[in-house]
Amino acid sequence: MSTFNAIGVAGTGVTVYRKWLDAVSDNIANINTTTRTSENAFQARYVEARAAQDGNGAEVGGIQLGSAEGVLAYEPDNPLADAEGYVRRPDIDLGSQMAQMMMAQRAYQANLAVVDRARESYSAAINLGK
Amino acid sequence: MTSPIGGIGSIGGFSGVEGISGLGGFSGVGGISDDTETTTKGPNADFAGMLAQGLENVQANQSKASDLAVQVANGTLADPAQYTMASTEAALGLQLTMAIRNKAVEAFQEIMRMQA
Amino acid sequence: MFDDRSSSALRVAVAGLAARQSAIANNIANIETPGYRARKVKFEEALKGAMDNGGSPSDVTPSVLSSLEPTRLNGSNVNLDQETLSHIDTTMRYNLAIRALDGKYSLLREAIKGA
Repeated sequence: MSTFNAIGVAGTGVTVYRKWLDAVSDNIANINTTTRTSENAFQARYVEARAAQDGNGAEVGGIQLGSAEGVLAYEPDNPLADAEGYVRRPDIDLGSQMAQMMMAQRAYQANLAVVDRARESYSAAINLGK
Repeated sequence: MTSPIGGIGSIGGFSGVEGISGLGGFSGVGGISDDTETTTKGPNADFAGMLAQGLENVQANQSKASDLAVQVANGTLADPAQYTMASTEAALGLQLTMAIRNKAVEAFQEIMRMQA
Repeated sequence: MFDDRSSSALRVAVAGLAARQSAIANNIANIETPGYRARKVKFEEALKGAMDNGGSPSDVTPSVLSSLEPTRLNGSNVNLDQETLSHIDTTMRYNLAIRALDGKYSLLREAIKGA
């Protein structure tokens, strides 16, 4: 509990949603990353948000990984294709990633709006009696 | 014109106080001061008590503001408004004290001028 | 006249907060510098410790530490959002500390002025 606690608390939210946005951008960047069928597919990253253990705000509890199996795609022309002509693609749904991106973006903005309002309130408190 | 004369008349009564130079007159003055004391003792004591209590309050406000200022410095203050309120109260308390003191000094000087 | 504990503590705080502002400015300036480690300025705990143990607050000096945050792709570990928020927080702490010192000085001025 510090003097300008609301800013610290909103700051933890900003950090969580920045990491979430990082994870979504990582997932979208790798949406077409193909691998050999003998290897794991690119695993989508899912940020696990939770209430901070010290009771002030939110924090990243951990990163969950998506399916390592991915989906098999028949691409005989792909140099990575196996004898049957299959490659492994990550099991990432672009629509779901875009929806997550919007959620993370809005939450990031909301936390920054909290910072702005808190700053106004604290300024009023600092200038009280002047 | 009559009322000032009446006033002078009452001052004439006051001249009895000049008997202070004479030892005998002193007891009379003593009697007067006894009388005035019985009528003004209550309010006088109340005013002095009020003043003392007011000063204690000002002192308490200032030490409270000081404690909160330390919390401002080491970042443990939970609410910045708590400090600004305490500080404003301490400043206003001191200003009020000074105002009362100045009024008291003014009144004293007024009385001194009357005597001259 | 100016060496009471709370005034001394406030002066240490103002110096520490100014050092923190300059560290933040450095961090933001080096956001793309490969291998740069963000700097953090700490003094609050030391100040609190000194005052709780009855020591003199004016002996406390702010210490500059390197952030242990993981690095980004370019090898710098500066977080723009954290630095921005820290800047806001530090500015307000600074304002409040200055206001507190100002309050102290006003009381003295009022007492000296008298009439």
